[in-house]
Amino acid sequence: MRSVRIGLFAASIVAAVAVGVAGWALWRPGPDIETMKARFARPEAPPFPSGNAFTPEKARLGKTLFFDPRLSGANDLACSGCHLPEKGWEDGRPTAVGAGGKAVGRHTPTLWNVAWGHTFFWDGRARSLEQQAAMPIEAPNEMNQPLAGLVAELRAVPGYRKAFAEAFPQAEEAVSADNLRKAIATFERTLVQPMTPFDRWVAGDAEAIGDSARRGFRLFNGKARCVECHGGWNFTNGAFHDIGLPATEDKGRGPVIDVAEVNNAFKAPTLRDVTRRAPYMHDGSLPTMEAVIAHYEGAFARRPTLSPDLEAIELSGREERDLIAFLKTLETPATARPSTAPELPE
Amino acid sequence: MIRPAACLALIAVLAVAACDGSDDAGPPKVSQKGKAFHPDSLDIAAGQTVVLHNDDTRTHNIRVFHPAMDFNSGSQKPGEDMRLTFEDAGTYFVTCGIHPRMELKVEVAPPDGKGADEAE
Ligand SMILES: [Cu+2]
Repeated sequence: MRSVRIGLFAASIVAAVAVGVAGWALWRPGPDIETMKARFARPEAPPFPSGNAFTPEKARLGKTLFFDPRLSGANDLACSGCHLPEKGWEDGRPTAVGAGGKAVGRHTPTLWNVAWGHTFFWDGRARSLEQQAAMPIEAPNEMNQPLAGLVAELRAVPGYRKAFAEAFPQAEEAVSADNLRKAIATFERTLVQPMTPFDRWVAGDAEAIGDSARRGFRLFNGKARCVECHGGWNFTNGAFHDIGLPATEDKGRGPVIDVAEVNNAFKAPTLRDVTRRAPYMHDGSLPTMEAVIAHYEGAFARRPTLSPDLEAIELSGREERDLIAFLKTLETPATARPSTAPELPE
Repeated sequence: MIRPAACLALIAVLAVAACDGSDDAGPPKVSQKGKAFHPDSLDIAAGQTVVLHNDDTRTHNIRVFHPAMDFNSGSQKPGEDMRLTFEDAGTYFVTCGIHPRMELKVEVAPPDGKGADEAE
């Protein structure tokens, strides 16, 4: 008798669970809007590594170096020559233009929020900003300036001797390649995108973005599948994907880590200020946000390396407009845009 | 005189025991699923091996950047195991070269040190 009772009890639990599961599957709600918003809350301040702590002197020196064309071999191209503050730290060109006015193979990436990056460059070949900072300076097709020569050049500038000594007071020889890297990296970590309308909305200002943008945010998190790779407050998961752009010699992540499955894969960029940073993709091949959406609607190449996270999406014309309206809420407000270039030392 | 509630509780305990990867039968196992390590931290003793199993639907690339261990698994396809032996004590971060947000923290105690469950 007892075993029958236990059997009935167990069966009723199984039935209740089954009904619950079926009901859930039928109803299938997305996460509620507050849960979704919470996933996009901004952190308070950028992280600085223990080996290169923030100081205002270092950041100031880094900024000066960043804007100084003397960092290039021909003294005609600064970091800011491709990373323009007024263009969301990009240059508006399909691909960058380096030494001798020749095109570089890839689109200039934004520097917003690089303090939170795990890897740097489209192919992630640098693992820290300190490592990254010197690479475009030395690259023959970019700034074309070997560091040894650059350090000698900077040591001859009294203003730089002073600025390095203030930034690195412990150093016996403050003007060094390592300290140049550290200063530029420190400045780059201060490039945190100012509060956008979207951030104000997430922080509780219900009126900060409009109805269309709100619908776009839901699409971003749902039907348009953007969060697969662009989730989180900085709108990237930092991972590498082949999204089916025309194949070229440039194999991206594959050769860097020696894994052929990620040939043609490039890093998912942040979407902050994205509507101010056309043209799009690592190769700058898509001129507008509409073209980007059309790409994800199925205009991509099917090939073995295509990311398993990529599926063609389907959006109506109104949904496309809503999605773009949402992305526009990630723009830096005009009043908060960085402006002044520093005075260069003599 | 087992009551239904006690019976269910017993089943729950058995289920937990079965899911716990830290049985004595073999090396600690870590699953890679949904672009994350499960668990995402481990305490082991120097000399121990950890098995990383790709339960995901995508290729991973196990990386360790540490003065005592510079490791690149190459391509780790869905279903494949990778074995990592930690010879030296220290704190290690295992990550993925394709999904750099994936992070597994491995605390490796000296072979006779405190905090290690057992040395092999
Ligand atoms: Cu991975």
